[in-house]
Amino acid sequence: MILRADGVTLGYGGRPVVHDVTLDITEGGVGLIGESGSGKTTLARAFLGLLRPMSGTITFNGKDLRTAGMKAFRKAVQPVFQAESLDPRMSVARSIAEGSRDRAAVPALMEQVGLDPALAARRPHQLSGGQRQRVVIARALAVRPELLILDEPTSALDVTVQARILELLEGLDAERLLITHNLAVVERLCRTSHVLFAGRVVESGPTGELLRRPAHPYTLALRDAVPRLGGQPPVARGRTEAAPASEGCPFRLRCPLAVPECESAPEPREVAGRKVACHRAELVLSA
Amino acid sequence: MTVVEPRRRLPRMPDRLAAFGAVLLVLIVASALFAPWLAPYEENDPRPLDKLLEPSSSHWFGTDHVGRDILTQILYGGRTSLAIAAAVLAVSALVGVTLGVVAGYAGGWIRDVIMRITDIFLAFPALLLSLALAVVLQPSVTTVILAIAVTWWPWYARLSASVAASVSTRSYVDAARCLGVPAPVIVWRHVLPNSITPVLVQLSLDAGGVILTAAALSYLGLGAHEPTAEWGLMVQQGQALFTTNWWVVTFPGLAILVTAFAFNVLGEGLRSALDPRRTVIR
Repeated sequence: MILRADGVTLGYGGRPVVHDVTLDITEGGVGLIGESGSGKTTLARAFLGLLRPMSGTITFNGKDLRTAGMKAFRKAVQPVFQAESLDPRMSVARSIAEGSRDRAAVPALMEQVGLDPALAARRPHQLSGGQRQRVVIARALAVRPELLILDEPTSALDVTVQARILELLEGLDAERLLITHNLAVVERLCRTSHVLFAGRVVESGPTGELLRRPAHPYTLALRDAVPRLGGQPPVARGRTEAAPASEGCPFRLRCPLAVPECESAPEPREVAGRKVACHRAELVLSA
Repeated sequence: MTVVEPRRRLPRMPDRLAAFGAVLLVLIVASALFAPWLAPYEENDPRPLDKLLEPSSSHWFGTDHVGRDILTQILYGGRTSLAIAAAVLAVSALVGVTLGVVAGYAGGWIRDVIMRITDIFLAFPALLLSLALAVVLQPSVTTVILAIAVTWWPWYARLSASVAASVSTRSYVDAARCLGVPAPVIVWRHVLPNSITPVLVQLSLDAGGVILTAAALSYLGLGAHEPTAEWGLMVQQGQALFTTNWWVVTFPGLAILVTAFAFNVLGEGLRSALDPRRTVIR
């Protein structure tokens, strides 16, 4: 385990948006799944040391991030943001060498991520989306990180390019924390996943199991909302427009299975090999 | 794989206008620089017998109330007016952009302190503050530069702070932080270059305004004074003669107008020319 969040609450301007999250980034890839605004990116920023927790601790190799040596941390943990995260004024070579300051290593890094080194002098707007994403990956790899925090690395790419980028990510040595709303990508890259809703982890467990047999109605709603080719049309379960409830289970105003008991906040508990924060988990599993 | 090298787009209409502005400006600057060779007469060469002569083949722009050739005075006056504009903009931009970019990147109390100081300067009407300073200090070209720069820098600080604050939230700045790049380097390498375009455009748009303000201060007797040749001062000295000897005021006034126009046109062109996304692949 490299990184661990322990009872972490995060927010902006004193207003919490991620509440009391405890999770480990373990081997085999960890996925953070959830809709826009669920707190995935906020959590990723905290794991990257860009955001201080309001409460709780984030530990890096057992040391509190507030006291850990940031130099070693910066080398060990690198983000892979979306393809648009390149400075528009910097050439590919300068972007890739920014952390390592080793321009000589740029051609090899470009080849490693499947880019022609002849593109080194180009600027981001002179590249395709897929090429830009590869540059972002090469920039992160330049400092030989132990862990990559992948924040929606494929969401802006078309499906064929997406497939190639996923292949590339799968083949990398570094561990990964993947933040996405794309369940297929999580299934492919992550052994463990955590589902976030309204800044709370509502379900955690092995990715395959979690997606095949969700135990939380929100995970079920996410899974069933995925469009499929030639199959059932996607299903929007519950009242998808309802805002999260401020008290009790945050999902209860959307949940088709909500009962009066849901007005009290559910504690995470072990159900069928995963942790679920839902009073109706058994019912969801049996559905 | 063959890599096709990018090419620049052909100039578009605003670029041609900007090029026109740039050419005009080069001509104005060159004529000021080479005034000793271009001017038909000596600088400050009063000839009482030739006073208030109409434009003619020997004095293209006529002569003023003491018999100086107006074309010669305009050529030499350009040196003063353009030097004032360059000095004011350089001082204002240096102070304003430095403080603005630091405020925008750092945020928090640092931004609050810098922006409140900026607000204090902005609270006074610019011309009034310039006038007050010019009255307190001795009337001179240096006084004009200081007086205008003091009222001008807060605008650059405010503009740079807002752009820098927006740039600082971009993910390439986060990526640089995660790579362990020190904050001053991030500001220099990422925030400043990506915040500077609006400032450069504003500088070129303001250059005309600075010349006009400097001219106004000189016109009010608080800036350049005799025997310095300066466009605003020339207008001031000729104002009483406008109805009877129109050329004494008109030609220096036109010099101010054409220079302000050239800077404005150039500024508009710079806005599109400095966009890094303009290079395309064919």
